[in-house]
Amino acid sequence: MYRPRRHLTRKAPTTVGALAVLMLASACGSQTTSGGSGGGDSSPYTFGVVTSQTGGASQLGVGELRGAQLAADFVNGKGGVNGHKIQIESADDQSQPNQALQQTRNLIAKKVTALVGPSVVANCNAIAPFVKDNGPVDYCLSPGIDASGFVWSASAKTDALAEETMSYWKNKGITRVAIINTTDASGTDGGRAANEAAQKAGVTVTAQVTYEPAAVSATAQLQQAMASNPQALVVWSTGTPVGVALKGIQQLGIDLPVMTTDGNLAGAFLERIADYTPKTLLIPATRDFWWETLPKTDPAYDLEQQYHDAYQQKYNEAPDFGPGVGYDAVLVLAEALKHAKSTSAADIRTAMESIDGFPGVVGTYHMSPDDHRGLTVDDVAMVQAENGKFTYVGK
Amino acid sequence: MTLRVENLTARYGSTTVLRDVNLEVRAGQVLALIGANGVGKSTLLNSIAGLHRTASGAVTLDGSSILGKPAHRIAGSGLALVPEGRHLFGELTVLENLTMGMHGMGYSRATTQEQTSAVFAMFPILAEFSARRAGLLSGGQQQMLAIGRALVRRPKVLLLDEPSLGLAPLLVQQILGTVQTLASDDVAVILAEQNAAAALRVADRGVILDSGRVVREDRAGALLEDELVSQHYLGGASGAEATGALLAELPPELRTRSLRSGRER
Amino acid sequence: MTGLAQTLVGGLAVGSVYALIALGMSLIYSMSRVINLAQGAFVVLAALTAVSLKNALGVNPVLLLIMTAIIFAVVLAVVDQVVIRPATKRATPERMLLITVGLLQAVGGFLLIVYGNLPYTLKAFSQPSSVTLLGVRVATQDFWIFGVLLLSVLALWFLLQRTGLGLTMRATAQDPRAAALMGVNVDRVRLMAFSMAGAMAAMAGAAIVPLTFLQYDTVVPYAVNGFIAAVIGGLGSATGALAGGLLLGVLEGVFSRYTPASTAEVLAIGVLIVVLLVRPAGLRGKVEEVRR
Repeated sequence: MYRPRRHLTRKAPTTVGALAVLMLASACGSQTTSGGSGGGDSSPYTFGVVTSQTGGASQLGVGELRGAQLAADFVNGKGGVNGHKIQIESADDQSQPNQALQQTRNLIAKKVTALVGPSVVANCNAIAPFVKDNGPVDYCLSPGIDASGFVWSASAKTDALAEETMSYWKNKGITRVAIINTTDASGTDGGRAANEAAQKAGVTVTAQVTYEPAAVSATAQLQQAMASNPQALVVWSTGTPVGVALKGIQQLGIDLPVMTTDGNLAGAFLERIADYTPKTLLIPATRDFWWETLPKTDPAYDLEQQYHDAYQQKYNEAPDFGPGVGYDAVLVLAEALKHAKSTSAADIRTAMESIDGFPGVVGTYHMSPDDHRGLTVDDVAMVQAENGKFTYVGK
Repeated sequence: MTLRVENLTARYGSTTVLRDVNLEVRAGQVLALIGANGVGKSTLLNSIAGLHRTASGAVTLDGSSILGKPAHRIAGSGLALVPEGRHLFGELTVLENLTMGMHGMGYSRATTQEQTSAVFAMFPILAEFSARRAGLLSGGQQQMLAIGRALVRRPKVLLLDEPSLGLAPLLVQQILGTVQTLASDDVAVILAEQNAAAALRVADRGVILDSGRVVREDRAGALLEDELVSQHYLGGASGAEATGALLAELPPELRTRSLRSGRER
Repeated sequence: MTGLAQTLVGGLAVGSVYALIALGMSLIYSMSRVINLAQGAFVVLAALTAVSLKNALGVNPVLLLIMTAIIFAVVLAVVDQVVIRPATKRATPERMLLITVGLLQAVGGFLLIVYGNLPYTLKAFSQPSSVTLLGVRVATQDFWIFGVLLLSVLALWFLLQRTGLGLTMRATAQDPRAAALMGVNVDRVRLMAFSMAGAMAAMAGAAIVPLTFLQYDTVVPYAVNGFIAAVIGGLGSATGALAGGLLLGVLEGVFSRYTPASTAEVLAIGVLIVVLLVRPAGLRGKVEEVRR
């Protein structure tokens, strides 16, 4: 399944209880991938990057690792951090929380300077208790966790995405929306955020319905939503369930603007749903998807240009959701190391918390001891999916 | 057709239930297989028919080996078993029970019809109930159907496992009469029976099985007249005494083992 | 009211797929006493195979259904020969269950390797993709699914009730040992049951994929729902599998129309439990078989 970052673990139907256990029992064997070598030379700073290179979340993890490597190359190309090169030590968590923890332990044993990853929230939650109190600093690449202690969380918060959507619609004169979200953790959280954001923006939620992420069809729920006569639909989920909902929207002949989440900002996925894309499919996106609308004088413009060109050149495709967060994680950690008194976890943490106004490709970071994310609704704008591409439509 | 069993040994798990069994039955002969419940009669018949697959030794039909072949292949070579407990297809009709083994087996429609009619001629009651579900028949009718089902393909060797079990005396006689009829049609029959006297009366020869071992083999008439046999197998004494009495005639090295398995039983 | 009608039609379409899975499971169970939990996985595998065939050859829907049916009749025959038959000679029924779960995993893993983790779909077999009948908007693809189910049920009924092979199969289902004594090659009958189950799974997969998106990890919900349908119906009963599948699909649809999805799921399972409490052997199963 296509399972970008917001989509945690697809919830197996409870019906399956026993079956699911059997499944786990027979789940795949172990496989370890680690790149690079620790090296006896203490001069490079080693970042342990735990991502999902295989399994369901690999759609995300592969891009993240590419982004992280690209950022390390970029920093090293400019001479590194205070004379130290950045080295990436990669590990594959196979999209499984237990593997994420195992790989993290291995990396910590190798005394990495900081950690980047894992890719999805379930895996981040698996390792958070392990690093939260004593470090090393971990830059979780999923936006879905409540980052504190030594843990950071990437990209914009769910609430910011929801707020941007609602205020955009309010400005367009849309005041009645129906929300349809999946019942997994990320869908439920999104549904909540959309509801709160609507209230805040003065938009009426005419109906809120849910469907199983594994559902074959969502037409029943869509009918229920349509019965409340909305002007627009929010489909809060990621990957396949969104495809299922969009198919239902087409089957029912619904002709309303539809919003979905930034987890779906992937060319490969949009290609799949090309035939079923509604006339207006809106996605709240971070800056790496609409940077071209920035004035050339903007401090972030050159960085974005550089990042997109380098990615395009190296991988012969436009970066989608994953690479940006991987890229920024390395960039932000490098910036913190530049100002940290030492490479101890505590000093890196203090330096991270002092970052204020540092431009990455996803957005401009304003960290504090209470904010281990640093991005806000200002870093989000609406893009429209059309012909497999994303077009900026406004803030 | 001649069925010959040589040195047949069979086990369930680690328990040996048949040991070095030898017997032979020729076309037109009826061999009565006698012994108490649990001595291995069913295992012997199932091993011959290919249902029980742990046996070693040799089983031949007219000299060609059938031991180790799957049951359906053995059935195809002219041997039929009427299993203990009948094992009819209760949901199927009487007619379907009879014809199910003929579809797709190379029998023409005419042959199927003819051989089915022959079974109906032998057991007229089955013809009357041909459209009835087998599960709804009485015990005696079910036994007739079980035998009829085995006969419909005209086997050359017929193994009957406890055909009289649970039947009224009149029905037992009818079934045994059928056995004699079959023998006169040149079928070789093995008749496994707890009701030994009745079985020996229709048999040419008899084999007494005890603790998985042949303890006596003789003409049926001789066995019927033998006082020891009559006392211990035809309703005279308890099983244990009978075993002891017969084993007294066996070589001593065999005796101890048999006694042990006799106690275990 | 039209909304409810729409929900019913949608539920019946999904239920038809469950029914086809349950029919296959029931058929296999009847002939071999093996509960093939992987049956639903072959629906997804067949669906993605159909996507590949359609994309590569551009064949028309009828031909597509026939091709996938033939391919999966062979695939399941191979599965029987290579996995199930050797395993039944050694493993207990409980271990057979584990083996089929392993098979389910293997199909999912195969899909992940060959098709990656992106979802796949097809365009509706017929245009327009939806029509309005008596005020109810219905996906035309639903009719294809109903058609496949109807065809399968009729073919199965004809085979079992009107042919010699069907008689042999019914006899084998009741007592495989007695059937073997009557000259029936039980291994071959089981092979045919697997093939037929494969063909039904294949047609279900090819017919459902235009309605939804499928990828490697959708094997589990299909396997589970097909299994539930088979159990509600009473394992081993064809009419039960049909009823169980349709019932489960409609219940899921109706419940998810009026309650949140997770509640709908609990309610659907609740119905299953009630059915099993009242009729431990399922709607159409026999108690003796369950005890056996």
